Amino acid sequence: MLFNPASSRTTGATAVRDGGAPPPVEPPPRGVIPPDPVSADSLFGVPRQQTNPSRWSGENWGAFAAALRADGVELREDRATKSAFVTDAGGLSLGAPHGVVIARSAAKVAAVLRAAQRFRVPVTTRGGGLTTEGETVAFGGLALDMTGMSRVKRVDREAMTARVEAGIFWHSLAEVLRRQGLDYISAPLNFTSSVGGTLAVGGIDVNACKWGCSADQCVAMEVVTPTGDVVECSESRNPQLFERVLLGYGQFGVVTEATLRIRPYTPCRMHYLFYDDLRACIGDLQEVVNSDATDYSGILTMKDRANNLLFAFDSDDRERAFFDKVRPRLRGLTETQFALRTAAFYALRPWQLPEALWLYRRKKLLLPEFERPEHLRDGKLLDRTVVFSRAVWRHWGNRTMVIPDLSTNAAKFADAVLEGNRVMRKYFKAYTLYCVAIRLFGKRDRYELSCMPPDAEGWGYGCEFEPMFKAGEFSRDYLQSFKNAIYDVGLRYGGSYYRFGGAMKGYIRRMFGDELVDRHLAMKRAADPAMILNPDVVF
Amino acid sequence: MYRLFAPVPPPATFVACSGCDVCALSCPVWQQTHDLRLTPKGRALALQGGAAATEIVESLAACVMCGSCVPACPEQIDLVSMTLSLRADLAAAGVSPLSPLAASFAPPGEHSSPANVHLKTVLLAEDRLLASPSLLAAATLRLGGPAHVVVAADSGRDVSARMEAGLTVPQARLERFLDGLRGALRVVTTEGFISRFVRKWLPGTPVRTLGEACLALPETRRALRPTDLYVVEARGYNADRERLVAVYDALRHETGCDISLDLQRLAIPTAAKALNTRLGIGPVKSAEQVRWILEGRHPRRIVVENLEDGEAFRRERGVEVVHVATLGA
Repeated sequence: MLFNPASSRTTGATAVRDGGAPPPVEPPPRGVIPPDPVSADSLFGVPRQQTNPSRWSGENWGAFAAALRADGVELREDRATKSAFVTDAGGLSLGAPHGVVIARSAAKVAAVLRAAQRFRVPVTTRGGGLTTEGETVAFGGLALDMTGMSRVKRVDREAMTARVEAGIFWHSLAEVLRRQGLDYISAPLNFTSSVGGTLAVGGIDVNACKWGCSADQCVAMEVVTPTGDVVECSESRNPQLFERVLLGYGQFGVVTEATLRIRPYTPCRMHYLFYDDLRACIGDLQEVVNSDATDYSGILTMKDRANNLLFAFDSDDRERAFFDKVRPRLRGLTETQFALRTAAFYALRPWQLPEALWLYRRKKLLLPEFERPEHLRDGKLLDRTVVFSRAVWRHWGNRTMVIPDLSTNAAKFADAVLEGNRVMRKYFKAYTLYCVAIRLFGKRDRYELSCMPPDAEGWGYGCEFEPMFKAGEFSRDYLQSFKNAIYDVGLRYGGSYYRFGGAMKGYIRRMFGDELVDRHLAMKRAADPAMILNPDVVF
Repeated sequence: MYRLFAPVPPPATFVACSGCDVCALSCPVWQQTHDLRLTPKGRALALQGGAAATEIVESLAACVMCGSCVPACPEQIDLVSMTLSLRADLAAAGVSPLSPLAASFAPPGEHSSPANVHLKTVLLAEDRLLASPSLLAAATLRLGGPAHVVVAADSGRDVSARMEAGLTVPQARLERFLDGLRGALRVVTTEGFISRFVRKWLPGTPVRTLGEACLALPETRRALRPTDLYVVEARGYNADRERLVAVYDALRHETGCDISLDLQRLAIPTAAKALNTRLGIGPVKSAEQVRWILEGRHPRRIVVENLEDGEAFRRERGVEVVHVATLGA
């Protein structure tokens, strides 16, 4: 059991209790091919064990829909509604739900999951839908749109926490908190990520070097279990469930509310150092992280000849201390020094002039986005998430996106990124690498079978490999081949991935090993007997 | 190959929508309903899925045309035009819930002949401003005085209402309206919905909001206090946001007053002027918008650019509400 019902606040209902035993699943009639036990997205040559039919074909949908409506749940089956759920931010996995429910309360979510268990109908939860591997795409069954639960329920200035409904976008939370001089601590640099979705996968910010992942800012949650119990959990209350739902990729429950740590709002002063050598840049990132002297840090590259180490501070004192003690040890150049060195490099290699011009054009296009005066005051960045998110969507966003990644411990990171960069160069002319450090807080259960590298101590390091899609058109097979090549690098270095689910789940057993995956699968089966909740994501 | 000199792409349409949800963040319909179907993204993706306008009537009727989605959209889709075009489809199919009200706005009498506006400022004043002689006089004074300002007898309210509902504006009626503006030094509007169209119809003629025109005067800015909440006329601001964001950022910096902009620096609308809000249809309630604008803010005075916005605040809060044209007088 992942939680103790006796110590939980529940709706008093449990899974199959209301509706009796689940109806037996009839074997297919002779001559009918049963659902393929290996998903359509399986990777060539990758052995895998599939525990669910890869695609559900609609058994019991009518009875399920009738049961939901009888329970007062608004179910939408019209084309216009379902169209919004056919893909995710990746745009490569395409599916269609049979119907959509907008979550409005934990009780209604519980009713949905109880009926889903009873009728064995898959339920795919979705917040911002910012997955890239189809993790939030319903391949049939029900799409549960969590953004219907988007309120800030209370802000506790004494405890410095905010209680929110889990479908809320981080940006919407920021809008409320900023009016009170407060801010969330750590969230993805994408303002349409939802809180619940982020807690389920981790959530990495440029301040993860200081605060860890977003999931580590969560102090309590209200979770609806796959069998329809509404349970409050935290480190002290139903801790097993708490640890499994955080970074659990939606396998062990639907987060309906979360209590998050918050902090006083501070603008931050950004600094940039420039490198023409990626390894040196990574080395300096690690120097900065180990010094614990900055509040934000990360690497953004434009190809591997123009690498940018960014770091920022919430206070002037820390900034001064950094420049006194740490900056002298860093090899990075100022913008002017870097421009001169780059100009000299390309002057000696005139045949690479197109690349030089492209870099110059990207710089002219991108930098003003980060320096818009309405988001700066006295040299400090007022709204870093707005600035970064707008730039990300405007310059990297597309109807098709793949962002394969890898994470390793500190010692392996530079080698892994450089190898990944070689893959990147082979596949794309224009691309970006985004590297960050993630502080780890000991060996928490939540880090198991997650993006956190299993052998990391202190900090894990992650790198995203982002092609510039607006620079060309690529086929699905080409992109899949690229993703596999990056994931193979991660595999060789014994690390982990942020986006290992959905279309990439063929790597899960190879990365984590059968023992760990089987243990999680057993927990999943116990928690979700009909295996209906986010069924095609991990197992 | 590197694309060094990429051709200018054609204007983006709903096809370009990647479903990023950024439009929803500033959308008052989203703010009040948390129903993505009713947002520009919901409409764009419904169209991508093959839905017709008649399948998304509720979504089309819900939009208050504040225009905050347009500068927010990273794909630069003209989402206002998209929604208006779909409303036109509804009107053509005879199922537009907005058509009856829009059609009830009568054009001004045929006999009114346009005044000579050559090299003058033309003020397109809202009805409430026209009904308040003292405030109209103050606004005229702010714009340069009666010798330099013509208050348009034809404010185009029927044109604006028909456009908002997706109804066709007869060409002759449109020409008559524009005849009253042609040759003007600048056009100043008090309601921003029509300004985005006037800008297209009269390229080369500066179109400004009354708020911006008043704020250009140092005495107006000096009269603003750090304890004020300055409520921007949202439709006008969002329609010209790329230029106006600097104007209002400078205002905030200079005066210390709070401004009804969100973190993306998009104007939060009261939606008081929206056709559907006035009809009482659609999910957006002005009172709720006012509550959201004021949440976490405790102004001693509210300064408005639009009198309908002022009314909305007066109804909800017992705080002094003044019009920007009266500041520094």
